[in-house]
Amino acid sequence: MLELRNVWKSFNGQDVLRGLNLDVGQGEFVSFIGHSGCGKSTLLNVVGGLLDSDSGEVSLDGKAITAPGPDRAMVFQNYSLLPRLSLLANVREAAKAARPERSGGQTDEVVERYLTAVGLWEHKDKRPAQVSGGMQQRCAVARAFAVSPRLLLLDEPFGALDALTRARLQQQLVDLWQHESTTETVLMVTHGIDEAILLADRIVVMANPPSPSIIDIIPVDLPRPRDRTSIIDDPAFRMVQERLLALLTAEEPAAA
Amino acid sequence: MTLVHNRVPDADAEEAVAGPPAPTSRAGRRPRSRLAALPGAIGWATVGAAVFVAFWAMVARSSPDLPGPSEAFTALRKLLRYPFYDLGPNDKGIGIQLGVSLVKVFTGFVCAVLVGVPLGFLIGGSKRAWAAFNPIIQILRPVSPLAWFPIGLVVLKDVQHAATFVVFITSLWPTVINTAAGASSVPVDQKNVARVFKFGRAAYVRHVVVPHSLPSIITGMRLSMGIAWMVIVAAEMLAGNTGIGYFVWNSYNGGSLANVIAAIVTIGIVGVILDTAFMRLGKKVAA
Ligand SMILES: Nc1ncnc2c1ncn2[C@@H]1O[C@H](COP(=O)(O)OP(=O)(O)O)[C@@H](O)[C@H]1O
Ligand SMILES: [Mg+2]
Repeated sequence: MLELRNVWKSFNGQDVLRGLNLDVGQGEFVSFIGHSGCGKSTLLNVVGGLLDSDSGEVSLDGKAITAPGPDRAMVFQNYSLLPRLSLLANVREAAKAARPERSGGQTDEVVERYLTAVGLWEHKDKRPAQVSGGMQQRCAVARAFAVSPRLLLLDEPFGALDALTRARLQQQLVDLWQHESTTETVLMVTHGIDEAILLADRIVVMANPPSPSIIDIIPVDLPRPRDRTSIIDDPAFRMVQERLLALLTAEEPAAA
Repeated sequence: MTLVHNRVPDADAEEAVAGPPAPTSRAGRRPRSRLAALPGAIGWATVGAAVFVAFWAMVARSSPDLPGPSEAFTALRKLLRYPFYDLGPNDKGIGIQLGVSLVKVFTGFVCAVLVGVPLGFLIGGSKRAWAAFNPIIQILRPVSPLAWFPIGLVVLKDVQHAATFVVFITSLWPTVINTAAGASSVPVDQKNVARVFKFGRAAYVRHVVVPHSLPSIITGMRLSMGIAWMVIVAAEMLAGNTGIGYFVWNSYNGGSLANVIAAIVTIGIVGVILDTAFMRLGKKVAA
């Protein structure tokens, strides 16, 4: 579905993406992990169409990605809701703009469905600043799903949240992805080893120079639905966890 | 915000607008301690006024042509007793004169907002428009708006319209510059949201640029209004015939310096009212 071929990207002479190759299949959930500055956000922005790569090919179903499109939606690390719009308007305006072919009624229906799914329908008239960070991030997730993207891109979506809120949101994300939407494929950047294993089918481990951009891709062979409490005792979970820890501690964090 | 709080100088309302220095004591920041500080503030204001009036009286005593405080106060009371009398073109109440000036100021100001805000969005939103217009604005901005009076006169062929035109020019620069500053500082993540979700130009301006720029637009408008109110007096001294500026000039020519001083006080009070109105508007918008 998504193909990256020999993708290069540099900022100020510093190679951030170094000949990166990756294939993501339809319906896959892929996590990206690595020390900060290794290019995870850059990679996501290239796939999202916010950034152009210097060279190489990025394509979705054989079509080159050159700009953002409604087949991809992003959830940003810092929520990035428009501060002067209500939660409802944040979701509705995004859905309207990205999917102009829908009728007003269809848009309203989708918006209500996802705001309800993330438990925000009763708070829909509040401004982002009037609700908690967790609620803002749920709104951002609802906004992304309301576009009905085929590919969902999440950049450390739960990084700033407390553990309890994070756990609940992870569950909501999986439910939405598996049952409530037409979204097939998810790419998620994360700092959390456990989060990556809990959610992903494969984990892409990225690194700073001089290592290649991708130093390993680890499959997670754990059946779904996954239960966050019992999964920790699964030997497969332990194996992946140890491998990730070994890889990440062996890598030097970026000097910057 | 209640009435009481607003009478006290506000520590955090000021941006580029001139204002009282922020209270150095931490007590000035919290509503409750502000209330507690109110008698003190009134007390100190009285002390300041007393010192000022005493100084003025001293100067007036040694300079016989300058009216003293009591003389000026009497003149002010007389002016305010019948503010709206109208005895022909050269003899109108101070209320009428103020009204005439306010109409000119608001006309020029509204025109400046209608032109300046869209122009500011254009300049703030496009690097090319910025490069094209910024040099002109930087050259014209420091010019005294009164220098535009002859041009207004030639183009509009009417002295009062020329005065309005001067107000327009006065109000234009702060409005354009502050709007552009707001429009050019849209955070990257809001821009990214607009790009990812395919906002069209109209939706982008309406939901991202305008809301983000609104506080600085109001600041620009507040600055504009402040300068416009200063400039109208001078413009009307040039233009003659009507307005508070003409009233000042006419009083001087008629030898009534007491009226000049009374007019100065009135102009100052109206200025404070205008400024307070915009400050409140700014707070409402920021909330
Ligand atoms: N727009 C940009 N301009 C210049 N340098 C950038 C830009 N975006 C990212 N970088 C640099 O690229 C490197 C990778 O950044 P990023 O992809 O954000 O890393 P990560 O998300 O993995 O922490 C960093 O060194 C960062 O400073
Ligand atoms: Mg990042």
